[in-house]
Amino acid sequence: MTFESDGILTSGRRIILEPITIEHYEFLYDLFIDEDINFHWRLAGLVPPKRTFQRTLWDAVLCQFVVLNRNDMKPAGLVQSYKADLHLGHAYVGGAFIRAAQRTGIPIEGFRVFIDYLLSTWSLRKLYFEYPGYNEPQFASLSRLPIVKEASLVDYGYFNGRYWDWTIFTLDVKHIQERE
Amino acid sequence: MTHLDADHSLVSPSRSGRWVKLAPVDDHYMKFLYGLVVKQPHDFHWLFSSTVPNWEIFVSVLLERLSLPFVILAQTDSRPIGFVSLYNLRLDSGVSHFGICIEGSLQGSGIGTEALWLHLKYCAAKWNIRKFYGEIPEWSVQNIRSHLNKEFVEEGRLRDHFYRDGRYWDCIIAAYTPAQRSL
Repeated sequence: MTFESDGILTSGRRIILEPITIEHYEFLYDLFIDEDINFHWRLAGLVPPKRTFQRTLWDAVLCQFVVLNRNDMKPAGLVQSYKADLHLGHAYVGGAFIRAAQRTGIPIEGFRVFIDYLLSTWSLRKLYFEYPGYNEPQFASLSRLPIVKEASLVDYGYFNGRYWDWTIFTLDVKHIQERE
Repeated sequence: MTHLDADHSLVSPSRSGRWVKLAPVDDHYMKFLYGLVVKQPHDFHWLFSSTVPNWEIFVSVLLERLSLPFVILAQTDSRPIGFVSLYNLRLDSGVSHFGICIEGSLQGSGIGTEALWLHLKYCAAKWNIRKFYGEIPEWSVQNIRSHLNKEFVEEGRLRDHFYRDGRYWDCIIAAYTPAQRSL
């Protein structure tokens, strides 16, 4: 199920952004609680029962999509925008991808198409990315985007026996829009 | 901090200071608090994004989404003059954000500072919180500049994050670590 009406694209060369339906819940649950994927910061380290997870999947979320790999049309990850303040024109962007999809170009294209969707749909001035230090390798591909570090909260999160810094980056929306 | 007194009984930190005292959020304070949000929405940016929610949302957020919220009362006549609370509490890593709002006429008087220290002292004694974070709008910095330099460390600055009076303002993320200073 894709929707590409009114000129708003939700697909790229390698990926399709698919709206979340009940069929995706199993995939998403596994993605959120997978220790290697490390997306569990959105759950603050908790592993909730499936029913609780499904009920809270949209808490504080502006919009989110499952990212499909065009090669096999299977889910490769999730992109989401949360903690949005449409009055002030900013929102957070996050995502997670299965191990097999990492370093394939799929995550960066998923984020790029999703960001284009966000900027086409809402009047957003700033997009924030936040992640704990232990997720830094997964976000390495973001360095290809015009992002600026605006905060580094020292020892903010706890994982695997130690505290980690929490970094907040801002995407230069003007730069993206001028590029287009 | 909580400590043992001479006969080894546990003494809780006081919620009462020279100018203010902290009272639990009781039903009869709700109208005062809602009025404060209506009059000073920008001082509640941390709770309602500088908007005025309807009464039902206001009550549910106040009762369900906050940790250790207190009404700030004047010591002299027990009149409510403000509100202080924790939010985004993460006991797994021992961090929390705090928010505070004082009636406009009392801002810059030092009363808000006393209320905040009373609150942080109380929270640090009750729970194992290593760091407290404030998201401080640039327009408020003047009121607390001396504290920013001494007790707080600026760990982030979100550029043009807020909007007020026809322009955008930065959001300063300032951290306070109780262990670095005896409360």
